[in-house]
Amino acid sequence: MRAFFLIVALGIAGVAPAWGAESTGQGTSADSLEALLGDQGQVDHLEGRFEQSKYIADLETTLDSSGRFRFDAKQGLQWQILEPVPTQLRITPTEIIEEQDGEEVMRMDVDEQPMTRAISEVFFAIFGGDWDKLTERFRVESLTADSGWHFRLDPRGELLKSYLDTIELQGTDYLETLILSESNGDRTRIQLSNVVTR
Amino acid sequence: MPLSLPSRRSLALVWALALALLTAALMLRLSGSVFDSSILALLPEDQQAPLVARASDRMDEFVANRVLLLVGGSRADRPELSGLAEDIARQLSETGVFSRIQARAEADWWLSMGRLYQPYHYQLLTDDVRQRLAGGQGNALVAEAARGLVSPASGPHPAPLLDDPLNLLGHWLRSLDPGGGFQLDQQGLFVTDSDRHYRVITAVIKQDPFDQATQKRVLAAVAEADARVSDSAVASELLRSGLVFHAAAGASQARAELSTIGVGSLIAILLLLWWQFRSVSYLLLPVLSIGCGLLVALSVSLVVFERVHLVTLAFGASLVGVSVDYAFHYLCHVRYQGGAGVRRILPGITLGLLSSCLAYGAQALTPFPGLQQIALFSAAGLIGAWLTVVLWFPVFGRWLPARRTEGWLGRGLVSVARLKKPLVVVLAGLLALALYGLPGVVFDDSLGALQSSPESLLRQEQRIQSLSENPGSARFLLIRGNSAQQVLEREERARLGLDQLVRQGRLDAYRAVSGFAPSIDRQQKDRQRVAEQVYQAGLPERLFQSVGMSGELAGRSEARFRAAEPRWLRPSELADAPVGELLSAQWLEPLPGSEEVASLITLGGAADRQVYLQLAELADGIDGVRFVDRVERTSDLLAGYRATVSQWTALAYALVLLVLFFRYGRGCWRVILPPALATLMTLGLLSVMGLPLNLFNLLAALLILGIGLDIGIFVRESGGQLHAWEAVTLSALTSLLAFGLLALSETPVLHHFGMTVLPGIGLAWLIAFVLGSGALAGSRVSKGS
Repeated sequence: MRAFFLIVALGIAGVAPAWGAESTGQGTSADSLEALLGDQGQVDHLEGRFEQSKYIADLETTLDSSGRFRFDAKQGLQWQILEPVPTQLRITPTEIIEEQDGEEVMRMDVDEQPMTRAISEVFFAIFGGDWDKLTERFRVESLTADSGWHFRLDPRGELLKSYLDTIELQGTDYLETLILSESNGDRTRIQLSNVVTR
Repeated sequence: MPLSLPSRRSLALVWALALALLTAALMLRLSGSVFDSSILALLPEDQQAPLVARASDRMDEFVANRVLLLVGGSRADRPELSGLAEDIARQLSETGVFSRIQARAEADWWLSMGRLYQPYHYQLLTDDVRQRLAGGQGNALVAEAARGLVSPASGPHPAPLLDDPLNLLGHWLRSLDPGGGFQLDQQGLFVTDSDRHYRVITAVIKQDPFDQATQKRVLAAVAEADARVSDSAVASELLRSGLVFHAAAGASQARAELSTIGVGSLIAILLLLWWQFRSVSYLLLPVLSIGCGLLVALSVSLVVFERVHLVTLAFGASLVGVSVDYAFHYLCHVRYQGGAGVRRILPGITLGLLSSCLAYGAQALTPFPGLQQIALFSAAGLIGAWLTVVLWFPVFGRWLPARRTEGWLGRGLVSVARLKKPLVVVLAGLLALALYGLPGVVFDDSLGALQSSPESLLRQEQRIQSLSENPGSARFLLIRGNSAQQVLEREERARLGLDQLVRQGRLDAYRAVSGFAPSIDRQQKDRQRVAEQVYQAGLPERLFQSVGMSGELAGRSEARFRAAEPRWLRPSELADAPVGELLSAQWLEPLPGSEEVASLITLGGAADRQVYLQLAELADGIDGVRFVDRVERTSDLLAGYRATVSQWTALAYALVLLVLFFRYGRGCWRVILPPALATLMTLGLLSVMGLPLNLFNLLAALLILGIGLDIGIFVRESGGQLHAWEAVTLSALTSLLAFGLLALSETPVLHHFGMTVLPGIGLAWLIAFVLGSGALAGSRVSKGS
């Protein structure tokens, strides 16, 4: 679940890249990533729809959800699940707030739980163009793609590794698909659509 | 009757043989550990004490070797601080002083705890979940679980969804405290306070933290870490906590004082004696009698007691101040009268010995082991010194050069004796002041009054305590039972009360083994709750339907629950878990031949002292539970000792008075008045200075009695001759130098002792002088013979 959130953050960062240009020494270098993604320009604000389909290995069944997302450089990320359980999530650099039926059901300081801080940090660092931060947490590998780009992130940290196998990102102009494979066999596929930037 | 030289020699030989035997006995004993420093060793025997002592020892053992370092800086610099903490930890581990250092998280903390609890997930409920289930708030749990399934920011779901649809194991894991009240992130333990962020480094010292060489290496290693922090751009402070720092500070203070106060007073005493006697042999004899006295005292004490407490040693050694009286009396006598015999001074020093032994020895009858030891140590030491003077000095004394002239001291005394009127005025003034202060005497037996650690160290310690809610080892709940399960059940009953205190904000936190391994009884009940309030209530079905999954999954989930053969989690299974080390410090397995199991619930900070009363009340209400307050216990102990010492001091005065009455009849008041009045005046003067009294002031009062009596007796026995005045004045002066200078000490115990001895002995001498120096004032100072 945690790792899933991370990929949401990364995915959006992928649409609005402002990569630093430093070589990582491992996997794909920042230079080639930058080249790969092309110049998509700096984005302060973007929003769109998402469709999520999560395969739960234990149940051999798939759990679908969908909703809207919106990122604003100042306000952070809003992840609004409309189906099947209306839930709204707001993430700022210091807090994660969960609301259901307009009622706050959880407010968590990013320090409060392991990983939360890392997630928030990675997300905001990437959006701010800090490529070093990302390569601190992940090994990045470029995969061949017919059109657009496709690459894979492997977590470096032990704690992250214990939950997360890999993250795959695919897109052409913007990030379109991300696939998250958890170590327990669960696989989450998120499809972004109707992305609007400002 | 004067003894012939040969029989004197054979007696001296017998004493030499006896001393040789005692030395041999002492050598044999000294190989083992014979000194006790635990304050609990001074407690009177009590039925509960062995277990309390064991529990306290276990806590101490755990606490003693641990060092906690907090690298603090601004919250914004969190990643840099964590990197710095890791560097420091690496640097510390390279020193080889520590056996285990931890700055990084055990990355698999959650994972391995999850794995440990996984087989038991149907029977581990947090208090919160239990209440919600019982209160019919199952829907809230369902909604939370549903959010968890679709929301990207939920906590981990450690058990498979079908096994644990409501993520009860996730709730359970989140309720655990990963490490001593600190929080855990990917980089390790940390704690945050408003805009400050602290990374936590824990280390375990390899060797004995009381060993000086170890202390030095630990301090050097931490100093390096300190340097790293000062050089760093992000970290602004390094907080430290650990017994080793206090022990090292105490030891270095003691060493510093030993080299200034101790060596200073020793040099002053030697100069004084040299100035008076101008002969090395005159210096050697007092040293000889003191040495033999201490030898006898220590070996006899170790024959009678298995171990001697360090407090006994410290105060027993003060008898030196009394035992040297016999040697001075002999020397001053020989110096004037010539001849090596002890016959003339024998009645005086024997009466001195008798009265001092009564004064000190009376305490052997008290129930306090510490006082019994001091009594025996002092009496044996005094007898040893007396025997040395009586049996050896006549043999050695023949080589002492006789002077037959007053030294500077004699001349000085004669001059002072002519100033009697001003002395009386000074004394009367002091007496009036003391009487004014006497009703205002206050006692302070708190352990805090004896705290000698440096202020900055205490501040850091308090800061860390408040940041971590880390339990101290000074107060805990002790739970005993006939089986592990009984102990756990009793813990759970006690925890109801503790939880209430925590909810009220009266108590910061607590840690109990049953919080990690509930009693089987509770596990059974919780499993029953899950059966009724989760499965029979249809919560899984509601969950799966609410997220649009097949309701058939609920049936499969319930089938898994029915099929799971219940096994019960026992505390022993925690041994290898990441919390195993913490918990083993809180669990006492039965001793051989006993069934009794015990556990400790450690307590975090309390809002105020009232909480301790509440805790004691809580413990009283539950079988087998006891609130142990070691601070209170130690203070009670000190108060008990103080009360006992003052009663027995009064009794000692009565006994001494009786002996003196037989010898001197009605004139005995002249002998007993100096120490008695001096003691009262000292207490009054200390009160005027606003100093509260404790046990150590009263122990010093015993020294005043011993030396004050010798003054009175020696002067009286010699008919007020100058040589007797010289002897008692020398004795008073050396005692003032040896013990009075302790008033300059920063170590509270020594300071209290010195602050009492200094005025006490001075006044005892002054009172005796005003009373009995009449003969001196008229005596002519002779210029040569």
